Amino acid sequence: MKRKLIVLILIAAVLVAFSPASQNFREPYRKSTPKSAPTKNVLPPPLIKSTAIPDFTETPETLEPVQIPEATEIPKVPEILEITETPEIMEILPAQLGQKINCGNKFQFTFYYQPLMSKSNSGQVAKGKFLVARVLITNLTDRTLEGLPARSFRLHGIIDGVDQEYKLHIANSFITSDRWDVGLITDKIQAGGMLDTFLVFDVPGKADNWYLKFEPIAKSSEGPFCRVAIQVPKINYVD
Amino acid sequence: MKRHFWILSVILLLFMIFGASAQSEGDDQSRQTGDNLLKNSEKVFPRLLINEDFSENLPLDVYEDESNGIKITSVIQQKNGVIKATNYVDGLSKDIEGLSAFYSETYYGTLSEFHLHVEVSILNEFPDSTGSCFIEYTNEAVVGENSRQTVELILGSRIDTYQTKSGSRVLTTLYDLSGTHEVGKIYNIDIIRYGGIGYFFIDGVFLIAYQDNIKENLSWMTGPIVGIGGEQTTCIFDKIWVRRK
Repeated sequence: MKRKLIVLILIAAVLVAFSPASQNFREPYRKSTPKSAPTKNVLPPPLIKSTAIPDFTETPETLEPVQIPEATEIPKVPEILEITETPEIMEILPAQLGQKINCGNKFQFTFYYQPLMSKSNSGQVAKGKFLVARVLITNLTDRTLEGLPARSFRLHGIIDGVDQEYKLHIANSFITSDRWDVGLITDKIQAGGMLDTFLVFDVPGKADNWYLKFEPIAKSSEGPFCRVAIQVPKINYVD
Repeated sequence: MKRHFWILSVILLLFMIFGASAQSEGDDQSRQTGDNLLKNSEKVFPRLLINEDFSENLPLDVYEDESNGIKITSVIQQKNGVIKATNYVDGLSKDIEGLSAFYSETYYGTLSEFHLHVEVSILNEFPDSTGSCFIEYTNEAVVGENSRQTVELILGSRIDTYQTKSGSRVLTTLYDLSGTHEVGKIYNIDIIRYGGIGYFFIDGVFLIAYQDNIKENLSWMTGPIVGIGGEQTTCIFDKIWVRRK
């Protein structure tokens, strides 16, 4: 009998321990101090006081051909993202202005205007130089896309034999596209539809060769629709 | 001995029943109050302070900020009846919880009691499961950013509260929202603050009531969050309104 009682007491203790009354699944209401141990998070300062991009009232620059100046000293290399020691083997397709380059049978990519390189563009000054390209992207898939992420566009420059990759300069790409009243990479692209937009990269200056890796993607877990490396057509060096 | 057994069983049963009901009583009371407030919002908060349907197309806003080697670019577009806000982060450290650049359109004024409604959607995120959108009320407008208290709802993550002190935050999670991370889905969010308590709802369903102990008047902020390892998040905000007494 004693053993039965001990067993009963043990069962009772377990039941009490796991009864809803003894659990706090979430913070109790109307408590002045939360009971659970706070997690300390060190976050960077709030960004509400971000520097606003100046109001641009001037008219957009035209992309008229400018004489190619004498070679100038290449400034300090900004934002080198990675130096690919063993670049993946990917055929670099030559491209003329206006030529449609297929990315599999999913997308088409076109350099629409002659790309230019300039110290400043759309009211911003580059760390190195801005490489600005107006491009047309056609969605040949049967899906409507909620824009293309910035990672879809990577510029590569071969400088002194070294392949260097540059990410899209987000702010300048958006500001330039907005000033020219063309599309934004965040715009919806209907199935069969086309996006006309500017892509801007902040690069050190001249390179032996430039090519753009275009890897359009809708969802990271699905991987890109296609991959293509396209040679950047002849660049107009503004300054 | 048999009698002991039965007495003990009855005591145990009573304890469990009353213990459980005491716990749920608080929940039920808060839920009932919250549901009543939501249902009678127009009576409790008869005046409309803000009613934004974003029908006007506005020029694109682009902001850049760089600190501690992390660059964040925010692109905000009010077009076609919605606000589309994208945050791009470059160099996000793996141990930083998340970054967001707020947009200030919800800084319409400060109130202590209000009903805030907003329709929010995570439009896209890269990589998967790194993005979210937040809605918060805070006393920052009154006390400044260095000592502000905030209660925030982060879609797909949690409801939490934090106090900023000397640049760091002491954060407490109040409610798990990991089930609300469906990309493209529009979530109707209501936050009612009444009698010093914040009541939170998603799609009209009461989630939690929390006494925040914030004495100052409050304002509201919304925006996308780029989480650990994330590159970019786009949130859509629509139909933001605030009712007041």
